[in-house]
Amino acid sequence: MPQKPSLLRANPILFSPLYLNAEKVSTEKLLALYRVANLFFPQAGSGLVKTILDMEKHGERLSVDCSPEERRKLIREMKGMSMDIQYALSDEGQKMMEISIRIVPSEVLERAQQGTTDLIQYQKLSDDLDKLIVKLIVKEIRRRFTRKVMDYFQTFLKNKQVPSFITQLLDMGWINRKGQLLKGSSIDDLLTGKYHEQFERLMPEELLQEGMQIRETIKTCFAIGQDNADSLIQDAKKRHALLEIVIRETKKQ
Amino acid sequence: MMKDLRRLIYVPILHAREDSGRIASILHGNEKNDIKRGRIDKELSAVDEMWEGIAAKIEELNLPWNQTRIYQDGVPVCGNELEIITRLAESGSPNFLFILDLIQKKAKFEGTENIDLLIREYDLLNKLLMKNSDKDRKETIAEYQVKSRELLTVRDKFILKRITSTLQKGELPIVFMGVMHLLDKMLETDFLVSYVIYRLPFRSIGAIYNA
Repeated sequence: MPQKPSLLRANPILFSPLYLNAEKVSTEKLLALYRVANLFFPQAGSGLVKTILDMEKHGERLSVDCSPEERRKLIREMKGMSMDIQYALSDEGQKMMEISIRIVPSEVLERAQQGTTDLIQYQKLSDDLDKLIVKLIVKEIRRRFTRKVMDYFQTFLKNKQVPSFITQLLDMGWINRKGQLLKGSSIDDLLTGKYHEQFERLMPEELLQEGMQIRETIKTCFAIGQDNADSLIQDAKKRHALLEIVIRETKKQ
Repeated sequence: MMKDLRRLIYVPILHAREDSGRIASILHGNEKNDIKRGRIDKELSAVDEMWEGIAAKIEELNLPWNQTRIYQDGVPVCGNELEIITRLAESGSPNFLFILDLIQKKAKFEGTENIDLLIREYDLLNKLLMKNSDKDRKETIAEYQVKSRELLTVRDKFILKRITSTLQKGELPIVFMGVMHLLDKMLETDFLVSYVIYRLPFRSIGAIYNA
C-alpha cells in the first residue's frame, strides 16, 4: 500500500496530515460535489478548513467574551482532551481526499490567552493548501487542453483522408481510433517535444498558442509556488526597488 | 429585479521578475548599460510571451479606447501617474510598455492605489530586508507574509472604491491586477467580469469551474 504523502507537516498535536489522492480526483466529480455542497451545505466543505484556520488565527478574538477565570477553568478541565474531525471523500470505496484534523482545545485556548498566534505554522498550513489547489488547477487546465486536442484528432480521423501524422500516431499506439491519447503519450511531446513540428503544421495556430500559454503559465505558477526563503527575499528586493521608483515619482508632485 | 451589471475586463497578471530586475538595475546606476527605451533585449521570457498573448487577446476585443479607463495595481492616485508609468516602461517592463501603448490609443488611465498603503507595503519590505540572521529572518518572513496578505485585502477594498467612484457613464473599465489580488471577487457584485487569458485563482477551487 502506498504511503500517504504528507502535504501538511505542521505540528501533529494541532493538525494531522491532509491527504489527497491526486490520481483518483476526477474534476467532473469535484464539480458535482462542489455544486451539491453549495446547495445543501453552504457552510460546509471549504468552510471547514477556513473555520480551523480562523480558530488558530483569530483565537484571541473569538474567545474574547470568555473571562480570564473562565478560560483558565476551561483550560484546566479540558487538559488531555482532544477533538478529531474526519473529513473524507470517497469514490467507489477509494479515498479521494481526506482531511484528518486533531484539535487540542486546551492548547488552542492557552495560546489565545497568551495572545501568541503561531504565524509560522499558520503560514505553512495556508501555503500547503495553496499548493494543493494549484495542483488541482493545473490538472484541470491540462485536462481541458487535452480534451481540445483530442477533439481535433477526432475530426481528423473522421475525414476521408486522414493526415499522415495522425496515421503515424495511430500506428505508434499513441492515440486510438477515437482520437483519445493513450497511456504514455504526452501533450508536452506534441507541443514542444519530438512531434512538435508535425503538430505545429497540423493544428490551428490558436490552439498552439493556447497550449504554449498554458504551459508557460503553469511553469511560472509552479515557480512561484515552490519559492523558498531566498527567492522570496530576492522578490522582496525587487518589489522594494519598484516601490522606491513609485514613491519617489509620487513625491515629485 | 435583476441588477444591471456593467462589463469589466479583468486581466490577471504575473509580475515579471525580469522586469523588477531591470528596475533594480536602474536604481543601482547601470541604466546606461542596460536600457534603451522600450525593450531591452530580443530574447522573450515566459513573462514577455504572456504579455504578447494578453496584447493579442485585448486587440481582438476591439475595445473603444477613447471610452476605456485603465486601472493598474502598483500605481497610486497622485497626479503623477503618467510619469510613473513612463518611468517603469522605460525600465523595460512589458506591463507598463503595454499600458503606455493603450494610453497612446486614447485610453484614459486612472491612479488606482492608495499611496499610504503602498508606503506601508514598502515599510513591511524594509523590515523584512533588514533582518540578517536566519532565525530572525524566518520569523520575519512568516510575519511579513501574513501582514502583506492582510494589507492586500485593504488595498483591494480601496481599488474597488476607486473603480466604482471614478468610472464615468458609458466607460468600459479594464483592470490589470497581480494574481495574488482577490479584487475580482469583490468586483463581481457590481460588474460582469470578463477575464482575459486564463484565470488562475490560487485559492478558489469553485472559481475554476465557473471560468
